[in-house]
Amino acid sequence: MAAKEDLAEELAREIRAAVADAAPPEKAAPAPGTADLEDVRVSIRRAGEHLTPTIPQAVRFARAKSLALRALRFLWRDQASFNALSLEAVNGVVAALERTRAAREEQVRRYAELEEDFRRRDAGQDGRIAYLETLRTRPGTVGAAGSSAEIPSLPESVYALFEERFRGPSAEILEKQRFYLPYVRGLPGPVFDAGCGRGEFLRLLRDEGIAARGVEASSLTANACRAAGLDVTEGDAIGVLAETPSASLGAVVAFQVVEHWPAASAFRFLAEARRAIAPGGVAIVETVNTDSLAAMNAFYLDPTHVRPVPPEALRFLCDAAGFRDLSVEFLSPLPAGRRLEERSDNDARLNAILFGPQDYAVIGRVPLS
Amino acid sequence: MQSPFSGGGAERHVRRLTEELAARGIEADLVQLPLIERERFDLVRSALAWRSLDVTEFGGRAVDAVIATRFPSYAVRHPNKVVWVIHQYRQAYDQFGTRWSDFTASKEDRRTRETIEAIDQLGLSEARRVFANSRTVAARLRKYNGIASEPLYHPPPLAGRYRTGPFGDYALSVGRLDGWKRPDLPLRALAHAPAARLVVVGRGPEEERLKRLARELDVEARVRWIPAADDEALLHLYAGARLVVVAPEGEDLGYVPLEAFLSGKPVLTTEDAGGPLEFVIDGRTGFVVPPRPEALGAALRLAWERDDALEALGRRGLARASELSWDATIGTLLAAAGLEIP
Repeated sequence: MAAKEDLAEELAREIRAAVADAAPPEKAAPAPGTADLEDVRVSIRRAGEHLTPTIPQAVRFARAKSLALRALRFLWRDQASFNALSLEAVNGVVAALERTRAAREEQVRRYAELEEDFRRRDAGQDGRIAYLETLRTRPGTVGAAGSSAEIPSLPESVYALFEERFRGPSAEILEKQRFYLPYVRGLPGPVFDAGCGRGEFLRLLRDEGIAARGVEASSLTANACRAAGLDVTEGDAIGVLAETPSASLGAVVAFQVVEHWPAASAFRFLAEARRAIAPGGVAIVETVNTDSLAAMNAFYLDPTHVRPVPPEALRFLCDAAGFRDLSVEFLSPLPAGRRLEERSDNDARLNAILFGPQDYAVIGRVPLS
Repeated sequence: MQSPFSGGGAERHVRRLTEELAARGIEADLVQLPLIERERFDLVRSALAWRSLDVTEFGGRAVDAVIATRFPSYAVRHPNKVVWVIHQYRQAYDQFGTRWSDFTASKEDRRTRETIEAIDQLGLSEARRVFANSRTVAARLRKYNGIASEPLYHPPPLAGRYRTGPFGDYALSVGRLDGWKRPDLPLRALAHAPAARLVVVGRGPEEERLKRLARELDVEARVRWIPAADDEALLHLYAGARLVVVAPEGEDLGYVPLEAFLSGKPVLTTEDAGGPLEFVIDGRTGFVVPPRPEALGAALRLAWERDDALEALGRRGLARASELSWDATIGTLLAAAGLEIP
C-alpha cells in the first residue's frame, strides 16, 4: 500500500522533470526574433574556428598531417583570406540587423502610443460630434428656457412625470418659495418667472395680489398652468425676456433653472434681466447648492441638468450683469435626522460639507439711480 | 435565475438543491426568472425584476428563509436571506478586458458594469450569510466586491451513482466545448503522447474548429467525439477511463474533478485551472502541469502504462470526494438561516 502511494508521488515527480525538459519556461521568454539571431551568432563563432584547415589532436598521424598541412599552406592562403572577409561581412550584417530590429521595436512602441492617443482623441471627437448633432436637430434651442435644453432626448410626457416624481410635491415647493415673498412686495412692476414649472410661485404671487407672468418650455406643463388660470407663455425664457421692453419688470425670478443651461446662456439671461428690470427691482436666481455633497448627490438625477453652478460663480455672473446689493441665501436645510449630530466643531464642519442646505439663491437689485 | 433551454449545470444544480431539501422534510420550492440578455440593459432589468419581489410570505404563510444562488436572483427581498454564490456575472469582473467578455469601455457598458457591481453589493451585503461554491469564487468576491464568504462544497450531480472500474485505454475530457474551457489543450497534448487516446464528451461553439485541429495534428484516429452522453453513458465513460483531463482557465469549481474522483480516476489539470486545484493535488490525487500542450502530453505519456500509480491516486481522490455530502451542505445552509434539518 505505502509502496503504491510512493509510486504515485514518484510518477508525479517524473512528470514534473519531463515537463521541465520538454519545455523549459526560459525558452518561451526571449522576444520573438532574438532567438534566431542568437543561433546565427553561435554559427559565426563556430565558423571562426575553421578559418584555416586544422588537424584535430586525437586523430592518427596527427603530427605528420599537421606538417603536411603547414607545407601546403600556400595553396589555401587566398581561401583563408576569403573566409575571414566573409565572416567579417556576415558579422556586419548581423549587427546591422540587430540595429534595425531595435529601431523597429522602438517604432512599434511609438506606434502603439500613437494608436492609444488616436483612440483617445477619437472618443473625444465622437462626443463632440454627437453634441453638434443634437444642436443641429434642435434649431434655436441653445439657451432655451428651463428644462427644454435637453428634452428632445426625453419625451416631454416622460419628463413631466419625472418632475412630478423627483421635484417634490407642489405643496412642498410652495412652502419653500414663500421665503421669497418679502423680496417681491412693493416692486415697481410685475414679476417675471423664468421656467415657472408647475407655477407654484405664480400661485403664491396671485394669492398675494402681486402681478406676475411665467414662461415654461414644456407645453404640457405650460398648458396645465394656463388651465389653472395662471398667465404662462410656452417658450424659451431667454427669448421671451429678450422681447420684454426695458425697465418694464419689477422682478425676474428663476428657480432651479440656470443649472439647465451652459454658462453663456446663464449670463445672457442675467444681462437681459438686468435690462428688463426697472430701477429698484430685484432678480432672484435659485439653484442647487454645490457646496453640499448631499445636494450634489442628486444633481444628475435630473437628466436635463447641464452643469452645477457654484455660489461664487453665480454671484460673479450677477455682478457682471450689473446687479448690486448682492446676497447669497442658503435654503432647504436637510432634516436633522439626515445630518450628523453636532457634538463638536468637527461635526459642524462635516455637516457643512456633506449635509449642507440643498439650495441657494443669489438675490440682486437694480440700483435706483 | 435561469438561462432558458440551456439545461446548464447551474439549472440542474438548483433543482437538485430543491430536491435534496425536500428529501430532508423541508418544504422548499424553486423560484426562477429567465435571465434575458437581448441587450445590455436587460441584465439590469432582470435584476430589478428580482428586486421588486418580496418573498417574505406566500399565500398568507411565512417563508422562513430564502437561499439565492445566482446573479441577479440574490437581489430578491427577504429578511432571512442566505446566498450561496455559484454564479457571479464574470464578464463584468475578472473576465472584463479579456477576450471572454464582450463588455467594452463604452459609457453604456461601464454603467452596466457598475450597476452589476451595485446589485451584487446590495444583494450580498444584506444576506445573513454568504457562501461561495468554491474558494475561487470566494476569492473573487473578496477581491472585486470586498465581501467575505465561505466556500461551501457539494457533491456532483450524480452523487451516489458513480462507480469505479478498470483503467481503460482512453483519457476522458468532459464539458462544453467553449473557448475558455480550453478543449484544444487535451487534443494538442495527444500529439505529444503517441500511445494515448482521448474521449471528448460535450458540444459547443468550438466543435468544428476542434475537429479540424485534430485532423491538422493528425491525432483524429485516437479521438472519439461524443456530443451528448446521458447519465448512464457518462457514468460508464468515467468508470472506464484511464484518467480525466480538466484544462480550463480559471474555472469556478467544475464538477468534473469530483466526478472523476468518485469514479476512482486521477485528474490531470493545469496550474491555472482555478477551482479544480482545490481538489486536485499534484502527486496526491492527480497531476498539475503548466498549461502547455507538451506538458500535458508528457504527463499523459508517462502516466499511460502506470496502472498501480494511477490506482493509488484514484483511491485518494475517491476518499477526498466522498467527504462531501448533501447532508453536510444542507446542514450548513440551514444553520446559516437559523434553521435545522427536521
